[in-house]
Amino acid sequence: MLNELPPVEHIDARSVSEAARLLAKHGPRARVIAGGTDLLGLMKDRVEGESMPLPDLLVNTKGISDMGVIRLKDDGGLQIGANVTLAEIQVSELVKERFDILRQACESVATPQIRNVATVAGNLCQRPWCWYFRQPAFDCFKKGGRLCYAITGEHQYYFSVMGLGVCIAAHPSDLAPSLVALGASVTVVDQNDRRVIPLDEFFTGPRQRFENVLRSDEIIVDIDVPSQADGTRGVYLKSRPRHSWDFALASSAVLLDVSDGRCERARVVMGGLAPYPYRSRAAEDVLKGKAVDEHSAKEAAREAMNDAKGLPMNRYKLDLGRTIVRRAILAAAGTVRD
Amino acid sequence: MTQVEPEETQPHLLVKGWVPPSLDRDFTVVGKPVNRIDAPEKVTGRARYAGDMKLPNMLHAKILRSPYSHARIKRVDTGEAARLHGVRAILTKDNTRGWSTLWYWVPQPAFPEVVTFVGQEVAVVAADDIDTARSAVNKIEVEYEKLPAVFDVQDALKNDAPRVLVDDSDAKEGNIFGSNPSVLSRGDINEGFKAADFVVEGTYKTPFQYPGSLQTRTCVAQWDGSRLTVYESCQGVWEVREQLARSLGLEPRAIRVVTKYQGGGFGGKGGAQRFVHYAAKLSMMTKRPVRLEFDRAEEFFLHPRRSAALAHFKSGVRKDGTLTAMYARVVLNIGSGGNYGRVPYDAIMLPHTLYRCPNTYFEQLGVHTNLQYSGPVRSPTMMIAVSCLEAHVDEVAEAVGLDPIDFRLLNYNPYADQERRTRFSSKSLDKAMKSVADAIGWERRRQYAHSPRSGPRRRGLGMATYMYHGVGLPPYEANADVIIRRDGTCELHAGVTDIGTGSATALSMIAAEELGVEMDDVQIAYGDTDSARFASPSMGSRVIPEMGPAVLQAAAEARNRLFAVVAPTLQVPVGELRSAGGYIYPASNPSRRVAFKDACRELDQGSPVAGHGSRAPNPGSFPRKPNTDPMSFATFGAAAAEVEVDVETGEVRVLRTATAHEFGRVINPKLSASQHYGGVLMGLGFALLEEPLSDGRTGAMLNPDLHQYRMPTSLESPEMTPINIEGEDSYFAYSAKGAGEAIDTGVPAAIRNAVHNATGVWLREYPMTSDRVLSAIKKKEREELKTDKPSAEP
Repeated sequence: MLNELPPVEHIDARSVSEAARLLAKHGPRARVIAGGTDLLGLMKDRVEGESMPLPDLLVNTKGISDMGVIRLKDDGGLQIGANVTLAEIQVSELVKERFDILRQACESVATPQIRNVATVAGNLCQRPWCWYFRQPAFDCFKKGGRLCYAITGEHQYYFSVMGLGVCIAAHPSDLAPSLVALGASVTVVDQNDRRVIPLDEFFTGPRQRFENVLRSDEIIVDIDVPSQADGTRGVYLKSRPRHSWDFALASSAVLLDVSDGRCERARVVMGGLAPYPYRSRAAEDVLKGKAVDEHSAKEAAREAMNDAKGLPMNRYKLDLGRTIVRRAILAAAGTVRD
Repeated sequence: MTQVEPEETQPHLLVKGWVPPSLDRDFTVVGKPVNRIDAPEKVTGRARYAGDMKLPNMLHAKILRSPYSHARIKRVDTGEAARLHGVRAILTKDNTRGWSTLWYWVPQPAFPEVVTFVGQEVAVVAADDIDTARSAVNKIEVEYEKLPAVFDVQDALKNDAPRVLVDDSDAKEGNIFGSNPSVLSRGDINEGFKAADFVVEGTYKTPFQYPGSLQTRTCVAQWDGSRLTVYESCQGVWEVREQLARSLGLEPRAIRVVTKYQGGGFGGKGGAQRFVHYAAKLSMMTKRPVRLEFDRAEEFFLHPRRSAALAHFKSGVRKDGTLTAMYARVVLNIGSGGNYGRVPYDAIMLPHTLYRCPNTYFEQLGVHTNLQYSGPVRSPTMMIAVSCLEAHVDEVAEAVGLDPIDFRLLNYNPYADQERRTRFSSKSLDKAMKSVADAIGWERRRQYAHSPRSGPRRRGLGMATYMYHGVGLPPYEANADVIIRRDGTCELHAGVTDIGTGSATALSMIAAEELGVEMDDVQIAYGDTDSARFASPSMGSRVIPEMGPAVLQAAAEARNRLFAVVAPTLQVPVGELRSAGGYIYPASNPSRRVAFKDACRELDQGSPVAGHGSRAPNPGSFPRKPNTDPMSFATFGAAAAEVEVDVETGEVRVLRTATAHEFGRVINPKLSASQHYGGVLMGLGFALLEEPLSDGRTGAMLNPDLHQYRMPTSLESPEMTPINIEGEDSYFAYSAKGAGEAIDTGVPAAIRNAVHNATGVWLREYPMTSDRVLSAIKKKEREELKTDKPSAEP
């Protein structure tokens, strides 16, 4: 194929500190590359603008071995290296035993080929899959322009119905809703420092050029998933136009801790419906202390979508979102209908 | 209705001249599941496609495209680009004035003064490497004067709509192709509606659809000072040769075009199109080979796509289910142009012909818009016709409470021309309908419709029927030569391109059968204008029905010449000799056989025997003049689908399909199955997923990629049952007719009708994406709540 990459320098970093040093030295035109499934496509398609220059340096972190391991922590939590691939999470026994919702989320991503190289941090940091953003001809808000073309244009699929702002692209990550539900955080390093950002503070809103708070000189080194109470069950459900290689029209990550027939703790997070993983505390409150059944699940799903507005071409997402949330709740409670 | 007795002609193989009598024995090769002959090269990577050609000193070309959907080009400044080191030549409208290229067969200026769609060619650069070519393209300065644009057909039909093709004589007034609708009619439509007990109508929409070939279009052109060689990825090497000769002012024999392997065509790679002309011109200017390859986005918007359609159908029917009147107005969005505006009856020929109905009125309009060209994609407008007609017919059947198959059989039309009562050479559509019904388990349909609607996942069955040409096309010039050499080699020379359908394999099988040798003994030369005589491009399901008779004739003639050589030895007359499986023997005494190879040894080293075959035209003329000159050759088929619809998400899963196609005879069941599978998946994509979307303000395509232009994946693939309906049709080689195009056509309406069976909702817009299905279901639910009426059971 002819879609050549623009000329770019590529350096294999041998350590996190070397990578951080390179990023600090070269500024915003340097970019971290691991799986590259999103970044290389953006570069080949020349998706650029004032706030997203084409990179002239790629700092490759794939060779940094620490970043590629999944580790069970002493407290029962999980530390996932930023460069662990989605395929590795899919087959990890550690993940399957206690964090199966993550495996489900990974399984739903793209295609086997992409999952073999795409990394967990890359999945969280991927750019919007809005077709205006991805087309070089439109200098949209995310690239540094002033307008969102999708609001008045075509917005059937990967667009928001909640948390609307300047940009209406829905956050595309399948892993984010599950990781937010699990209460995960990311560890981020720059050349001087290290900070831990809880994922529910990591993603920004529709009025920001970038979808997260990561600075251009920072690298995610790992993702920290806290231990879950015994009996916690999680389900990730996703509706998409095509059964493979498609992002969510609506998705839902639901974690339930049910004992003696009552819901002790609930986490309800949605994907594909808002510019960031959208957690609904209102839906969680509906479930808390109750038996999870058709009735409460339906009620919680209605609450979850309570703030949804819908645009002319995506109003169907209101019905769809409610269905996906309700089904995920029932599946997590083990009372799957049909 | 006047009844005219058709002229009776004795069916005969459609060849020029004499064919030796048939060997009159059981088939030894035809009908066997032979592997494709090019499979080993393809799966091992040895096959060299056009894009694999790397010639010494080869230049790389890149096209500059218009960012505007409608603009006059005021100025093109190539100064800075030309100064770039490594840039060898640049083509623009300024240095190519008067040079005409061919879009399919439509002459067009090589570069327009006024661009009419986003992505249209403005300049082409040839440079030492692709990066330099790309940089140079970015350095060309173009001054555009933007003009008002129109994208929607209804807007384009308004009186004050901007004119899309200002300079084109095709649209003298307004934006209608040819300025007037094309009309097919019979009887009196008003009387027909008066005679009806029910009138059923609906408006249907079908999307643009792309060929979506795996291989993007690529060519390497090499001018050596006197001769032009083009390694192409085209569907017809002879067609490209002729088009280049006309455009470049060369003698056709000074051009050689080669396409041995092809990564998919589906109609999109017909003709040289402009890009091959550019590569050839650049090579002639620079005296160096030039390579030009589309990237994926270009593959989308520089190739033709299927027209989109807006079709209104209205039918009158008696209580007993007989049709009294059929009306349709089909408006095609043909974009900035397209050769399929030149087949003005294609979308209405089917409704005019498929059902018995005394009163009809159909009109078709091709409407120009500021979108890319439209053109052939697997069953170009027939796909549109079937998808709308067969959706509508199910609604008519429901109105009179008839099973869709019973309704179709009740209104079955055996005639090619209903007024003159002329017959088709063969028609087994009733058999096709019954076979798909049996295969899919049609009896469950009633159960699905009447089962209590509980649970979100509901199943349904649907079917549709179709008619397609598949019998060769004018000029019916197909030639084949067979040479038998002293070493026992049987060479078959056939000027066709194998676009992936396996035609080289199938033609070799016909030759082997007629020669009486094994498949391995036949060596076929194809896809190269230097290796064979003229043949038409691979399109319109024409290769087997058109080349088949020529190959059969050539092989039979060569074989008889060899028979003449060995007849004295075997002491029997030529007419009593037979051959099969590599042996020649007297019909009366097969044990007195000689090996075919031994017989060949009697040939002189320098004088092989040869046979020549040439196709004769189908009886009747073309273009068809409907009503006066009926089409009487066609293929027919039916599709059935079982779906599961999730009524809470709108997701439609196709669980299984059955497709029956009337082949006449199947040469190779493996290859025919491939056509069924490919047809089902292409139809499924059209039905459920594939939809290019353009920005409504700029006309720029938003999803020129394989991600959001969603073609089905293996996960969408249903369980598929291919059924071949066989029967005698003596006009064709072993009765074999075409199959490549048509099988996709019945699939969308079958799926759509199945969705209705499952949900009670009639979808009238393709593709039936989950958002459309969900919205339609919810709309129905809300309406039912409002009117408080129970859900209507079909």
